[in-house]
Formats: sequence, structure tokens, C-alpha cells
Amino acid sequence: MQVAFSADNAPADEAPYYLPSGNEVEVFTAAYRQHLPLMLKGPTGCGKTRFVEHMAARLGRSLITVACHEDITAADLVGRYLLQGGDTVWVDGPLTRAVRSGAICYLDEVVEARADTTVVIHPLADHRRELILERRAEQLTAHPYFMLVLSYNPGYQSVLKDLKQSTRQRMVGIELGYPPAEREHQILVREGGVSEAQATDLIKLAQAIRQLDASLLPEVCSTRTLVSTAHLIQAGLSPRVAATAAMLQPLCDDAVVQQGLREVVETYLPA
Amino acid sequence: MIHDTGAHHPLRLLAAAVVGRPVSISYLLDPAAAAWTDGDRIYLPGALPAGECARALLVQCALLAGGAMRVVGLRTLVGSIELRQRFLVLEVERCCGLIESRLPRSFLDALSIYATGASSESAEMSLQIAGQRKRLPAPPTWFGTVKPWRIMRQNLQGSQRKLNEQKLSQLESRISAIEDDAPDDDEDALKRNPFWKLFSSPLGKDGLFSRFMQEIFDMQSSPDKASADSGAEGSSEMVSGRAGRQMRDIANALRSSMQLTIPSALMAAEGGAHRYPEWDCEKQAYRTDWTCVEEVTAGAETPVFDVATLASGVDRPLQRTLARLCLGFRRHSGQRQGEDLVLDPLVRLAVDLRSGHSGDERIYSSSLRTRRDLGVLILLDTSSSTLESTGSDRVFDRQAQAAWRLCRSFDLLGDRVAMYGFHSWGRTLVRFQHLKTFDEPLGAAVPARMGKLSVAGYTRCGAAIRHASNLLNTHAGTPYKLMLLVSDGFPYDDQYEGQHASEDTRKALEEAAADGVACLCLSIGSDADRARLLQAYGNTHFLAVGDVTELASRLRGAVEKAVAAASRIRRVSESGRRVA
Ligand SMILES: Nc1ncnc2c1ncn2[C@@H]1O[C@H](COP(=O)(O)OP(=O)(O)O)[C@@H](O)[C@H]1O
Ligand SMILES: [Mg+2]
Repeated sequence: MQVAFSADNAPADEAPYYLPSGNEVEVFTAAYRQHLPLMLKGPTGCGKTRFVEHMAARLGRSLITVACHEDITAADLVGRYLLQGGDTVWVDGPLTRAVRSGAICYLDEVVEARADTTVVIHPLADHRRELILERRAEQLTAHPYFMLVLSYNPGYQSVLKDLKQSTRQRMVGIELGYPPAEREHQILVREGGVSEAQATDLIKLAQAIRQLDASLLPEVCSTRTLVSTAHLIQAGLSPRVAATAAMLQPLCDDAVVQQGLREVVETYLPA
Repeated sequence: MIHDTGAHHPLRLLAAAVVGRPVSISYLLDPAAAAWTDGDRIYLPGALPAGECARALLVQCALLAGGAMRVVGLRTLVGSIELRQRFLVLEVERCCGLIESRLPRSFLDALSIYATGASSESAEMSLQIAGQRKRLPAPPTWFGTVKPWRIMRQNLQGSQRKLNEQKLSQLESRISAIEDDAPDDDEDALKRNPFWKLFSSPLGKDGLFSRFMQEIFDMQSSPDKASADSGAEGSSEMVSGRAGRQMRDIANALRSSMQLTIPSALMAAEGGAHRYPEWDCEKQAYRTDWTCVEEVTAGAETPVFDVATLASGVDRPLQRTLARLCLGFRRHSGQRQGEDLVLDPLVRLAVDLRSGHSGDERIYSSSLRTRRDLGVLILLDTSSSTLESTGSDRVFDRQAQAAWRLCRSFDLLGDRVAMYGFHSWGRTLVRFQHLKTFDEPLGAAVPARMGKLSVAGYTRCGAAIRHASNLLNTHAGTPYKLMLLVSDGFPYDDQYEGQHASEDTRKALEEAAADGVACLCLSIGSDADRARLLQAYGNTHFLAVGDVTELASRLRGAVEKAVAAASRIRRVSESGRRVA
């Protein structure tokens, strides 16, 4: 089971850096105040996780993140009995802990999870705000500060289609994309620690690569890969070497495309 | 078989990134040539040092992205180098400004010294300013050049009458008989030729063009007689054979009105060009590097068919029969029975039983034949012969609908699917119009591209099969590979007929099978030429159905037969290789 606990019960006094692109901070805050669950849509690496971390800190709530994958089942979220010596002991899952303690529970990449997880999400996400612990024949009403946040990449097949329409309709949606050029520039300087000029070069390169259509390149470079490139430059690599390692290598394995992309990098970045 | 490794065209992605769509590049072998664009393709001197090459390319990319060559009134630039240079400087500045955010900093720095201060807002405005007296900087050589004449020639509209194969080959044989000694890009010499008057006459290009067409249709066995009979000003000179260059221009114009450009002998095509051999049945030997296949973006300006006619629902019967094709083993956990126990659910069951619950008994894993192991490439014939109608609709409509149905069904089943439209004009110009690559998801873009397919030209099957087989081998990544050729007719192209064409097609099928690719040619609702098709494809590789709905009952058997044949041939050729 891959469950990451971050800042459990310990709200940070300084929020992680997040530069908004639109009104997402206001929408998130309003949803939180109105006890509405939230779904974040957007491509990988556009800042969804960072945004949730930032908001949790800002709102003074602890954050429990579950990175979903295809083997995640309802029991992994809710909890289960474990064998201890000759006894069986109940252990709360991350979702149950969030429901009890009033934390923000973030199900990252929820589409990866098995469809049966939606069974537990339903009553939590609709007006009941209840979590049913079937094995314990227990029914928990969510703490008033509890908030459910889901994220997914709309490019992929979605289990969200399995969510009842009534539930979906109670969800608040925010669509995030890669930040506009000047914002992404600011993020690079602040997060990656590169100079203004180096950031400009990297942004131009990203703008160009993002023009390539899906027939040439199935994925494009994300804000995350730009930040990683900046970090490598900080660590002493040349911009070209850094971009090749952090931006190009993850994009694709096709040797011909790689060579073409190297040509692009050499045109945009100094050696 | 010779595959293009791509080592020769590394600039394709750079150009696509800057322009914002895929662009073809041709390399000019003449080291003194200047870069230029015809509004569609970029021509780049191949001998430039790497750094300068990128700069020259970026300029042409910007001109393309900014639509500089689409300007109305390009004609005024013919005949004056100075005017062309002034227009170029203005347009480079304007077009680069439009896409400034994605142009490299060093490039923009290099541009800054050629600032004009004219702030032109459109190509038309640049044309106007170029004609005024304002002082402008002279462009550096890396700005390349503008070739208005070549662009106009490309944009000539076709006439209503169709040019048939016989006329075209007649014309071509006559052109090849004419010595071409004048350098091709002497734009200014043109203006001195009487022929030029036709372009500048109030009648305009239509007049010129129809006159040419007339000329060609009425062409007689003796060129001299033809010229004697023709009273049209200028045109007599062209047909007489004395003005060879113009003749070639006409031929090019004719060809371009059929939406194509001829890669001249002086150019090596880039933009995803691949060379393949062709089988010469007379000599019983391969002609190496004989054909050239290019992947292009479907970009017809007027749609040939209505995308709304593509079925939107799921073809359940078809899907059901395809569901059992080519499956591999996959491990499934959570089974009630199987070869192996899985620890996690086993422990969970033990806990459940101990704590008084009934528990989940799916604690085994087992290997089941469920994995989709098939890669499918669908090749849709987009030659002009498919535009003929039999009964209520055209062959093309039916074939496009079938291709779309197949594409969707395989995709929904989880197979890897790619789809291209193919046609050709002679051996150097076999085109694959991109509809869907293996890696793209099947979205709305695919039918949109189908609506932009250009349907023209002929069918050089051998080259198409070789390229498709190459694509399947390099990009499908699945153990089973299937090529579905949705085509109405027999192999036919310029110097690709009869026995030569059938034998080359058969040879290409054999090569594909030896590479593990199963091929099936599907003919949908066109009875014509069934016997000839059978001759070219043989029983194992050919299936004719009356209409799309018949596919559900007959496709599976045919595919299985083709797959079996491919694996048989493959085994034979592999054991042959081992012996040798
Ligand atoms: N708006 C933003 N403000 C600050 N940093 C950002 C922003 N968007 C992206 N990032 C950077 O990109 C990285 C990856 O973002 P992340 O939140 O992990 O993406 P996602 O969850 O969407 O896959 C972050 O670690 C951060 O450095
Ligand atoms: Mg044909």
C-alpha cells in the first residue's frame, strides 16, 4: 500500500509556495467553507499536489495524501483488521483518520484506483458526509473541517464516470493547466533558483515543445520537469545537459524523436 | 530492406515546434542556394553549418506561421529583386513578432539589428510598404529568399476537366525529351518571356490554365503540328519544345493543381521521408531505394466527404468477433481458482474468518488468455479511383466508414491501432496522410483529420505495404501485427502496372510476412476488378465484402488465416536464415 502521510496533525505555519494562475485559491476556500468536495483536473506536473499542500497550510488543516494506484481498494482507504498475536485489531485507513480528525484528504490520481473505492466515496461526497465502516458495522459522520479532494488527469479513462451523477454534481471542479508563460517564469526563478535569463530560455523551449502535436510527441513537458531542469542547472550542469536529462529523457524513448528534440534544445539553450 | 533511420532529418521536430504544426523540409543540394518556403514546405540548403542552419530554418518557420506567402498580390514581386528583399525584411520582422514568445533569445538578438521601424501588421501591408520609398535594412543571407513565381505556380487552380493517366504520361514523356539547361530559379528572366503575359493578362490564371489544358488534351502525335495549329499567344512557343523550361513549369502546375509538389532531382525530401526498394519482375531483382514514402498531414481545403456519416455508436457484432483475436496470457489475481495462492488476500481471508465474517474467497492468481496482443495498422486507399460511385454512394465513402469502424472497434478492445490514408504519384511521391499514430488516443481529432483527407492520385501498393510494415515493426510493440488495407482496386501508378505491379505487391506481402506482419486487403462493396485483386493479393490476403455489416461475420476468419500465414512464412524464413 502506498500511502503518504504529510504534515499529519501538524499544520505548517508557512504555506508551501504556490503561485495561482486564476481564481483557484478563492474557489478552494469557498468549497472548504461550504463543506463541498473538490475535484482538480489537470495534466501531470502542473501543480495540483503543490496547490493542495498550499491550501491545507493556508486553511490550517492537516493534509493526508493518498497516491492512488490500480491495486488500491476500499479497505486500503477505510482500514482493516490486522492479526496481532492471536487477536484481530482494527486499524483506521487514511481516509478514516481524515474523517475523524477533520483533515483534508487528498486522493491523488484517483482514476488509478479500483472502481470499488467509489463505494466509500459516495456517502462521503454527497450531502450525508458519512463514512461507512462495513467491517465494524460503524457509521462515522465527518468532522466539520473534513474535506475530500480528488485529482485526476482528464486525458485518461476515468473511474469518475462511475460516480453517481448526484455525487458529481455536488463536487466543485477546478481545472488547472500549465501556468501562463510569465507565471511559469516566476515559478522557475523562485522554485528552481535560476536567473531571469535562464528562466526565459527554459520557458521559450517549453512553449515550443508544447506546440508539437500528439502524433509527434504523446506527452509534453510539464512545469515539474522545468523545475527539475532548473534544479539541475543549480547543481552545476549546463542548461543543455540539464534539459536533456530532466525534460527530454522522460518524454519519450524513440531514438529518432530524441534526436529531433536534442536539436530543439540546442537551438534554444546555450551550451 | 532499407529503412530511413531518421539521421538525415533531425530538424523536423524543431520546425513543427516553431510553426505549431508538422512541416515538411526539403534539402537543396546546391550549396549556394538560399532557404525559402512555398507556404507549405520549407526548402533549406543542406550544406549550412549547424548553427546557421537553425537560424535560416527559424526564419522560414516564422514566415510559414505568419502566413507571409498567403499574401494576395504576390505577383507584384516577380521581376524585382529589390522589392522582394524589402518585402522579406518586413515580413520576417512581422512574423517573428507574432511568435516571439517561442523563439530563442539568441535568435531574437540576431534579428534586432534588422529592425525596420515600419511595424507592418499584415503581409498585404508589408507588400504596400515595400513598394514605398521608406529606407529599409538589407536582409542578411540567412533570411533566405522569396520565390513568388514558384508559389503562384503552386497555387494555380485545377480546371474542371480531369487529366487522365494517358495524357499525363504523354505530357511527361515529352517533357523528359526536352533539355532543361536554364537554371530553375531565374525568376526575372520569366518576365521577358511572352508566356508571362498570360499571367499578367486580365484573363488571369484561369485563362492561362484552361489554355494549357486545351493544349494538352488536344495534343497530337507530332509536336510540331500541334504548335502549328495552336494560335494562342505564347502557348505555341511552349508546346514547340523550344521553351523547355516553361513546359516543365506547366507540368508542375498541372501536378500541383492535383495537390502535390514534385521533389525535384536536386532535392532530398525530409519531413519523414523513407526509401524502399521495388521488385523488378523482369530482371528478378530489387531496384534499391526506388520509392520514396512521405508522411504528411491531411490538409485538403474542401472536405471530400461528410465526417458526420461516420458511425458514432459501437459496432457490437464486429467488436464481439474481434474480441477473440490474438490474445496473450496475463496474470489475474483475485480468482476463485488458479495455479497460485496470493498472500495478501489469503491473510485477509484468515482475518475475516477469525473475526466472524464470511470473507472473500478470491485468493488465487491464474494465467488467463485475456491480454490484447495485437497491433493494427489500417491503410485507407485515398486514390482518385475511389471517388467513382457504384450505386448510391462512392467507393471512398464506404471504405472510409469501414476503416473508421475497424479503427474504433480495435481501439475499444484495447489493441494498438494506427491509421493512415495512402496514395501516390509515381515512385518518388508515395504519401501517407496521418490520421492516427499508435501512441495517440482515439479522439475527435481522428475523424476531423479524415474530413481533411485529400483523395487523388494512384495506388503504389508495394511501397505502401513496405512502409506500413516498417511502422508496425517499429511502433506497434505487440507480438501480433496486422495490416488492413482498405482498398478498392488493384495496384496502379506511374510505371506501375500489370504484372510488374502485381509481382511487386506480392513480394511486399512476402517481406511483411517474413517480418511477422499479417496483411489483409479488404474490398468493400466494389465488385470491379475482383479477379485482378485476387491475382495481386492471393486468397489468404484478400477479403471482399458486399458492405460493412458483413465484416462482423467474415473478418475474423480472414484475419486468422492471414495471421497464420504470416507466422508460417516467418518460421520458414527464420529457419532459412539459420541455415544460411
Ligand atoms: N503554480 C505553481 N506554483 C508553484 N510551484 C509550482 C506551480 N505549479 C507547478 N509548480 C512546481 O511544479 C512541481 C510539480 O507540481 P505537482 O504539484 O507535483 O504537480 P501535479 O500534482 O499536478 O502532478 C512542484 O513541485 C512545484 O515545484
Ligand atoms: Mg486506386
